[in-house]
Amino acid sequence: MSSPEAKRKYARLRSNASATRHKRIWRRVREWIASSGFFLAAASSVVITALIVVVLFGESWPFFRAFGLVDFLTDTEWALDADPPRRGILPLVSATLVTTGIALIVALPLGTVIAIYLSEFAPFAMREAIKPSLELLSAVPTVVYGYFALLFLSPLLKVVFKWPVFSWLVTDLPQQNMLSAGIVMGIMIIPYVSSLSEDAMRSVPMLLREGSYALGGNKFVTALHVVFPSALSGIGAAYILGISRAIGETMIVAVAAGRLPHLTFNPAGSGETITTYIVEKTQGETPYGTPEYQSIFAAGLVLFIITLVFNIAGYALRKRYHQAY
Amino acid sequence: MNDVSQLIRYRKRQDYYFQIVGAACTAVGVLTLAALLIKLSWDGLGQIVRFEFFHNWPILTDVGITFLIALGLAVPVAVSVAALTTDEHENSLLSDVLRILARFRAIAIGLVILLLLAHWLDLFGNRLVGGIVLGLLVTPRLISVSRDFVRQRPVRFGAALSALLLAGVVGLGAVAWAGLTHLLRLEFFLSNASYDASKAGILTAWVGTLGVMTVTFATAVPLGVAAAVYLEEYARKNVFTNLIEINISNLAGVPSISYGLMALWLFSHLLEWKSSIFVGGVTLALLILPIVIVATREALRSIPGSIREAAYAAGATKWQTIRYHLLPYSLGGIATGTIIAMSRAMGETAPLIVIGAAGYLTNLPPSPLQRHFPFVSFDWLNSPFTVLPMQMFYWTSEPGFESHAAATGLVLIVLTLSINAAAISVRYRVRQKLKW
Repeated sequence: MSSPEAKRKYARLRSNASATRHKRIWRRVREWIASSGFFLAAASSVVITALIVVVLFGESWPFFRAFGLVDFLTDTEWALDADPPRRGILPLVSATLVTTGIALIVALPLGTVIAIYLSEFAPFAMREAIKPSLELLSAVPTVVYGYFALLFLSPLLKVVFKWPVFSWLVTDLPQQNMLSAGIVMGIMIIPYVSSLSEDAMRSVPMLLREGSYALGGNKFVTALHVVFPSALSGIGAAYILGISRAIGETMIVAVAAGRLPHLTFNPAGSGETITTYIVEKTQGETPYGTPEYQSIFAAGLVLFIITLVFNIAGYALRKRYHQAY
Repeated sequence: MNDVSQLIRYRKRQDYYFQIVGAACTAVGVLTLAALLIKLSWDGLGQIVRFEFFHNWPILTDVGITFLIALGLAVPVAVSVAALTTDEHENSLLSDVLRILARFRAIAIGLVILLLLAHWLDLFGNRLVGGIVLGLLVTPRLISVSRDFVRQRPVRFGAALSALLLAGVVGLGAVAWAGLTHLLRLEFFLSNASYDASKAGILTAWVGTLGVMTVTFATAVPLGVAAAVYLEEYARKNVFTNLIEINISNLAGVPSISYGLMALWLFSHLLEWKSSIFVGGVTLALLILPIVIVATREALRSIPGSIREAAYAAGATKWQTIRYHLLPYSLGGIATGTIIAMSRAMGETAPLIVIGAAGYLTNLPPSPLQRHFPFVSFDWLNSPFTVLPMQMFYWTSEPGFESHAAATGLVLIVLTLSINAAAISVRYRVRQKLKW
């Protein structure tokens, strides 16, 4: 090591080694940057949820503290400007329940029948053509559906309710009513129900169907007694997705269901849903810190909790259905 | 024996009836969509289309003259070029150029749009220019068509047939040219909102939609793809990733209005920003994030593990594998999911109402291009905005503006449906191309 030549050689080797070491370090840093960047992106979704929860709870907390949770959940009137102000969420919840209920009455039977038809009966080409075009139903912007409900279905229903039998049921239909909003909402969620249920039914193994055919079952019996029960958890998940869509749907009800909060279960009347209330209050100027402002968040919290329950149930069902086969 | 045959007949009838019921239920869905489109067109087409066009025959002579000019230009050129460049010229420069020209349909469409704008600005709104431009546009395509005919059939017959075909195509083009310029009420797309029903248009709305969509795209896609890559490629099975998993599936079901409430508090209360294109875009990006994540994960999951192993075996690091293999291969799936998510964001109204998007806005955001030095400006991000669905919502509750609302809805629905169709076609092509 003493000769100058050896020293030079050693230095050259060292510099080479340091170059590769630099490369290696840079590579490691780059990997670290990439992985932590990806991690941060994934964690951002948790941050969003946390933010939603914190904001909803945090902003509605003063509202509950000032006016009491019991009143909020049991009072049957919602009138913040009245004297004394009434703050019962029930009128808003009732309207949400009615519109959702009507939507489900429309969407669940139709969606299920369509799913059975497409998965068990329809020829391949027809299924391939119809499934995407049905999915377009859920691609239509909801404000367009609102327009449709208000200015097409509602006048149409008015005419229908002048006919003999129907006119005994409903005497007076206001322009904005929960019935038309609910029906259109049901049409909107058909693809959520039918598409997912169809996927679930298609994933039922052919063997089960063949067993049923071998025992002399026809397609209908097979679909009803073999395929449908086997795909039940997937179908349940589809239903739940549809329900949570209907509850959270805003624009259709904001346009077509009315803006008067009152406790009613009459589908032919008008009513203000939770989502409509939020839209109504945020459309005008609502200054920060007022009870109105906090009430928006309280309503949002109720909505969030209801949909959360359904979402978690749906997630659990989907998990089960993935494990089934 | 009789019982069995009766049962069989009964079963058959059961199937038959259910088929009818199923088809009827499917028809209800499809027919509703049709009714929706018809209702919107019935109410709103008057805003977009000039019905007087059909009563105004002199305008149709414009069509005729444009047609003749274009034909006079395109047919001789196309036929002679087709005749000249027969098989022995297959590899000549000329035929290469022609082939390239014929392929660029997209360029042709872009040119047509530019020319429509030019026409509207009255730069050269006369028939001669229209005819010449149309002729030039269709010529390369027609040359290739007529060459095919020339090659396949006896020459004379082929030439006649191709000339006929050319005439047809050019005629359609001329009708489209004159129709678009005379039939469409372009001022509906090019004027601001107004309290005067005869002057109100959707300029601010579609410009706002464009701006908001740009922000949404630029935010949601990098974030969503990165999150999906983490979940598919990096995450180990533990409590935290399980939490993220449940959380994303839950986020997809959170009502859109909740995002609006969160954004209202975060941006306008905590950060004290006013409602702007940037805020709207970011809010919608958060909303569609789960859709992008789920689509990207599906696409990544469909790439076989052998691809990853091959990359690692060749010495690639994880990042290199992702950057050079996984992302390019999953691009089709990501594109499909992103397109669908963007169409959802485009129709979304509720969160934008909550964060305070304007329903009535008469001035455009400042232009992103500037005359002076940096030449680009991002002031538009910070300007108040309205979007198409917002404008429609505003007009729906405004008496006297129903037709405007319907026309806006028509524009919106055509936009979202064509975007969805694009997504379907992308998915189809990707599926055809994939061969693992």
